Amino acid sequence: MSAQPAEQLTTQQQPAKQLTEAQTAWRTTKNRRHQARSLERRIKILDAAREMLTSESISNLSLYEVARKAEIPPSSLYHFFPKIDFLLQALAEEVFDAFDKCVSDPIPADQVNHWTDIGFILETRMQTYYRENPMARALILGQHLHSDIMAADHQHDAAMGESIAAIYSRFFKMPELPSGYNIFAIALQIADKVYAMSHQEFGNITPEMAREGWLAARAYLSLYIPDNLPRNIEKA
Amino acid sequence: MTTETTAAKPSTGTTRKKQARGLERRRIILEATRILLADVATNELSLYQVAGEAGIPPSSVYHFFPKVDALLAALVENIFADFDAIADQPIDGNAIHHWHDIFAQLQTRYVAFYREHKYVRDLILGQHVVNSIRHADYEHDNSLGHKIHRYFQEYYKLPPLPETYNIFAIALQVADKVYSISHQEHGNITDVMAQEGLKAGLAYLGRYLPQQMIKVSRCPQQPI
Repeated sequence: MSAQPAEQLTTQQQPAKQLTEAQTAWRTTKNRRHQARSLERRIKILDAAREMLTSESISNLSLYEVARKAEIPPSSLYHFFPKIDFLLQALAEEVFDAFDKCVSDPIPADQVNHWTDIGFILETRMQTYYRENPMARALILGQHLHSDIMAADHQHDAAMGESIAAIYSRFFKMPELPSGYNIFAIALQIADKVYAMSHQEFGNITPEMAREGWLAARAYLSLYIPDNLPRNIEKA
Repeated sequence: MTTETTAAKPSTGTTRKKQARGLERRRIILEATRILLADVATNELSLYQVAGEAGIPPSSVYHFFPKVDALLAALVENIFADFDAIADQPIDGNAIHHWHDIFAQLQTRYVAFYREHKYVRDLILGQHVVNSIRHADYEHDNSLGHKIHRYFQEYYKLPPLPETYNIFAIALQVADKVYSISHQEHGNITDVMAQEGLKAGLAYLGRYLPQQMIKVSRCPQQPI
């Protein structure tokens, strides 16, 4: 994965001023090599931070400690992430990618008998991801002073709500839903809130609270989606 | 981290006077913080600013609250006390026609309180809370949940409910989450989202409480 993004970066970062062909070529190879190394460092930093980040450590995590763990000079780390916030944002992006994958992974049609099966499958995937990733729990379910992460999560849930709405419409003939807000995004947040209660008290999502999170989200969705809903796709 | 230096000292006559003054200063600092938080974001607040607003030397502010986190934690504790006081105000029994009405009355009060105070929205709905308060937060949710549970019992014959968690505490959080979405997006709780939060909390409770519940025949005006 390291070669391609580096190339993309190079083309994007071409300086606007005119250069001779030779200069350009020389710069490109040099940049490319430089960028490959720098990408590698970035990965090392993120690996170290991912491992170190928990709800206990989040308020005290310092860039200096991360540099030491990543075995990278602090100055180099500051170059990539001048503030801890930037590092946490980069990790939050990883979490959002994982959430997106939970939603975009195919949902087997034979597992969807009722509309609640869709949400159940998606929530189960997210619960599994949370359970296995202390970093994700710390950033999304934990309480911390980084309000920008929470805002980003909120925005991301809004986007995810759209994707989830599309899945429901693919399987079922949906009733008219509110246009001012996305009920699926709200349902995601409701489930997350229950998981957060569990994480904050027990350090993880207990099986009981996992069930309760989806139950609360489903109860909310049921205000808008009737129990009997005609299907779009015939079962295979 | 939250233990106060004053409490650690051996108690003598002069320390008691000092402690009274300390308590007063602490109150002034918290009040100044509340005022500041009307304009300043919680993550931009500095102890130096607080000292300026309170008219107290920064060193004294640092003495009480070595970090902004400690200051915010103290504010959150005060907010919890406010929440308790709000829940303790008696329910209007004449307006209870369905169990929904109990929860709705309480939510109306909370929404009004949130709407009135930006710092409360920032600290509770914005999730700016610090780690030291985490456990207290959960405990407090539960104790509020129990209060609400008692109101419900006072009016209705409830079916058996889960014992390991409090559904009323969860319902409160569910409603809060919807308010929090609104606060994020609009800076306050809009009418639509106030309704939505209430509906979401009720929908969750409706998983445990049937639509039709038998009312308790009430002895008039018995205190809870």
